[in-house]
Amino acid sequence: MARTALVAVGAAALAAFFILVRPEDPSGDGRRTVLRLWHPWGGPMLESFEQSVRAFEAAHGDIACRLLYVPNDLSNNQKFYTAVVGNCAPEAIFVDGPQVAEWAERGLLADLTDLLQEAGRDPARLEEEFFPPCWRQCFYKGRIYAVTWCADPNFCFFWNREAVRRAIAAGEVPPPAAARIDIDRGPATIEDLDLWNDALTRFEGDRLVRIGFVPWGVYGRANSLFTWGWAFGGEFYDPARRRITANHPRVVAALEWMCTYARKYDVRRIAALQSTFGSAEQNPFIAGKQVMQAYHVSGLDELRKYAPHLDAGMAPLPFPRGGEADSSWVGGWTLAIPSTLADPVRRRAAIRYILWACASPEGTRLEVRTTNGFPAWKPSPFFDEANRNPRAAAFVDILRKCKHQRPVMPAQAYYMDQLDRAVDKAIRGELSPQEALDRAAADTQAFLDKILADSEGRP
Amino acid sequence: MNRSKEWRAGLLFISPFLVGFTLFTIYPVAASIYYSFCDFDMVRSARPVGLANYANLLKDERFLRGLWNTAVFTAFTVPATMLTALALALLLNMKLKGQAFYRTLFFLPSIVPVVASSVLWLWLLNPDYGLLNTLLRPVLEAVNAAAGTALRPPGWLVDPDYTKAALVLMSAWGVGGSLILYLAALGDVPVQLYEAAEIDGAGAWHKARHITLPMISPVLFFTLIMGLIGTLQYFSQAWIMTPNGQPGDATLFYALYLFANAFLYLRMGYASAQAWILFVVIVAATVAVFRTTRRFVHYGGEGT
Amino acid sequence: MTRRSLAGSILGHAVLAALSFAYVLPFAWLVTTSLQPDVERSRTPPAFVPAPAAAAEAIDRAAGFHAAYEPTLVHYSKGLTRVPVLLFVRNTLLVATLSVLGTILSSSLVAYGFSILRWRGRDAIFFTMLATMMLPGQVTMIPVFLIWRQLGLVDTFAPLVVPAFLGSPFFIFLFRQFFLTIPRDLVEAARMDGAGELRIWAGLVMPLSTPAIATVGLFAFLGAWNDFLGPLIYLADQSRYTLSLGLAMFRTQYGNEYGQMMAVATLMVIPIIVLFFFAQKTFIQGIKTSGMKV
Repeated sequence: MARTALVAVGAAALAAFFILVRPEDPSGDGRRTVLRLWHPWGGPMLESFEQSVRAFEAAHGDIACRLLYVPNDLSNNQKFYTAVVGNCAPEAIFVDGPQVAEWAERGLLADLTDLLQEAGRDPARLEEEFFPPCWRQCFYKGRIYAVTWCADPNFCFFWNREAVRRAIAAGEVPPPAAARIDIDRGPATIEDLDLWNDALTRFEGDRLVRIGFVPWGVYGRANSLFTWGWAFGGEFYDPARRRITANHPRVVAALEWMCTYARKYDVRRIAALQSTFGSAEQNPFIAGKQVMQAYHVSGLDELRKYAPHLDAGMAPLPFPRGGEADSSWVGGWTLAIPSTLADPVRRRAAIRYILWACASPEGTRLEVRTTNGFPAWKPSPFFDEANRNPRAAAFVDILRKCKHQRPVMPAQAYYMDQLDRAVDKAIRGELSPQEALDRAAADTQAFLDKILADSEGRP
Repeated sequence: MNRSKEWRAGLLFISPFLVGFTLFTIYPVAASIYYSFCDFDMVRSARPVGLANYANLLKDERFLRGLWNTAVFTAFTVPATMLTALALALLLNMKLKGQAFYRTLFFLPSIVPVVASSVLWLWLLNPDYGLLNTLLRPVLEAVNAAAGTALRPPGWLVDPDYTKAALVLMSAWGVGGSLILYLAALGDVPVQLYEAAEIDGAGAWHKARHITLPMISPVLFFTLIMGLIGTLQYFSQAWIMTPNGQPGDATLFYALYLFANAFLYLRMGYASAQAWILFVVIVAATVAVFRTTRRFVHYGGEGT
Repeated sequence: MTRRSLAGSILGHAVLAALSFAYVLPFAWLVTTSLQPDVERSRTPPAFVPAPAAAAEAIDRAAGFHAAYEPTLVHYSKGLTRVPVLLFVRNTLLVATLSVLGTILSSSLVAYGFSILRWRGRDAIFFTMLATMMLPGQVTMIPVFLIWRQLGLVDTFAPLVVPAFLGSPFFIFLFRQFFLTIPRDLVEAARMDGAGELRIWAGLVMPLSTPAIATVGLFAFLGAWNDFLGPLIYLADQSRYTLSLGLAMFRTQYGNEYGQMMAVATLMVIPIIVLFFFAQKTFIQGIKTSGMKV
């Protein structure tokens, strides 16, 4: 009896809960065009992103935005593909920079060239207003498929000044080396970097307790190879001839340099030192176990949040003789329109949002508030503000000089995986750098050729 | 009851499944078979290429590696998890005070969200300061001192030789589900059987072997089959902890490569071929298990 | 209590206590992270003992390393207000409750057909059903989505709930294993008394299978509670999102709000712990098959 009563009460409570707490009805204001936007800005960015979209709505009274957070990992891809194939895609979506060519090739993204023209922004003029590599990422086979929203200049080089000072004071650095270490300038060349590393890496018996630098630890192995490959003066893709050049001599040289570190200090030991909780707040540089690190612009924020007392020096990346000074590349995110959107009214609404977010003073200013990254639009008022902060200004400087972005071609994801595996095999000693990169290049070329041939066979 | 009546009743009872099967299984399965013979990127129309996908898979290093890794991993994980769960269930079935509390504790890992437990394990398995190695180190040092060996605590997730072991450990720890099943099955064993055996002077081992195990064998069989089917498709944990199967391809599991092919490289045709090869492997393994364990499974109701 | 059983009991407790430390660790860590201030988390290894300031220092000194920290509730307050947690709980609870009801109902009926009843072709169809679990879901995901799209049911809870009412192979298999342990004589006796199959299912088989029902219920609930991919693919409106998606909202490419995420995760886990703790009896102490008649 008591049990039945309990179950009844429970069911009644549940029913009441379901009725009282209910999702709101989507805004039924008939005059407004509904713009559905899928975005990956969760965590600390959620609030500021929502605010920026409210600002857009305030300035454009005839558009109502409905935001949908979609986590940025492969599950995002699954959601987007099913939506396009099922013809229930949103009006606008954030696309990771390097993915644009891939998705454009498959027909997932709408061609924006004419839309931009109709919206009053001549594409040719627009091109000049964006940083060149940011623009290049969105431009595929002569048409524009996305507009860059944020540009992350990769990377600046940081070193832990206090750790260096203490090491020298404690006599851990032999005097000839110590004399050549300029604590304020930091390592300027690869030779300097090697010197610093040898001086500052420290063993206690068998255990590696501090390492100077880990060349393949710059946001993943593939990204590390891109970084050093370009710094060494190499190239990864020849767009004119559509050739994958992973085995470019300078890229091979970069990988060979990386492997010298692997050989000097057992890869496993370095990996052990590096393996952390897998998150930003617990990385070896912040923990004081790694003296030097290359950071993305979000690193400034991380340092401020998790290691406010770390005395860090900052400079552009070191580079070898014959390499590229102040080397950097951009990744970043873009905004695009799914190809299935046919309704002209909503297309216009979408392009207005995109232009506002990526290429307007207010929009770009709010973009920075969300990501702490930079806009890709040169006229943005943000850059004047940024130049007042010396650290941010350093990043702005390398963004202005930046020449590279990841290869704009439809085998990008595959290529990155191949490079990742090549670096892994090389530093593990399974393959020589030349072999590893030859293989990566050959495999990716075959993959790319297949995709391109397949496309040509279609109407 | 006559034959045709049982037949009609049978179909009637399984009708929910038949409806679901017709609506949601037949077309997708047929579609994926078709795609496995095509080049298909999910968006544009599929182009038939005959057996090319299958042929290329057999030459694909990552496919072969995935198959090997998954087979080895399954061979270790399924027995390990079953034994762990069974041992725990037997422990938790004893008449001790506070069992309700203990059982809840052992069930906890299964309900903690995967993202949280993965991060925790990254810490536990850290070769330098992770809890596991911190506990192992003094033990190994003692052994070294006594036996003159030079053993070191393993690198776990950063050492290709130990990553699979690390994942097996994680699986053994997450056995809450099987644990509950075994506890339920143990509870179903009639007490009279034990009492009768005790009267006959049977010891603990005899009771376990001749009463407990046969009586819970149907559920053991269930976890064996489901473990086999599930582990051969092992994916989520590995994806979170070692995406891409690094280091050194040691944890490149079959399903990881399948997923990459489908949603990263947009080679759905190729991925479909992979899926169907895995299907054949799983069916073969399951049939083998069914056949070989048939005589060990004792359905008290003289079922099947 | 005899000496032997006392010794056994002590040994049992000892082993359990030792093992339970390992098993409770993830939950402890979950709770600890949710209470730790952000700055603390950058230490490696992290401190894990929450204590007020003065006590924390004392503990640190005694331990010789940084082991204690001052807890904070800011992650809870921020986490609960940043995303509409109550709404997500409602959505998840709705889906989970319906899934549990549907699963228990449909899976037990189908399992009855595969176990208690004997008919030609039964085992072949049973194996076919098992085989549907052997094809990796990634490759059938899009065709299934298209079917739901045709039915016009994308962006509703239907794709998440309706399949539960159509039988789930995993649970059908489970119920079947339990049903097969029911003595045939009981069933035959009920039939001879003139009971129809449905009545036998409702009045004899199900009551004898309460541990199975409880287990299936728990698993089905857990599955729906933690399901991530289903809601992600099929829900297109944030106000319909479930808790697992809500949890994902604390992640992002450039950094996580771990503290808040763990706070919400802790709150997600607690109801299940409570549910399990009180429902244990139903799993463990089944009705002993001592010849109960309908």
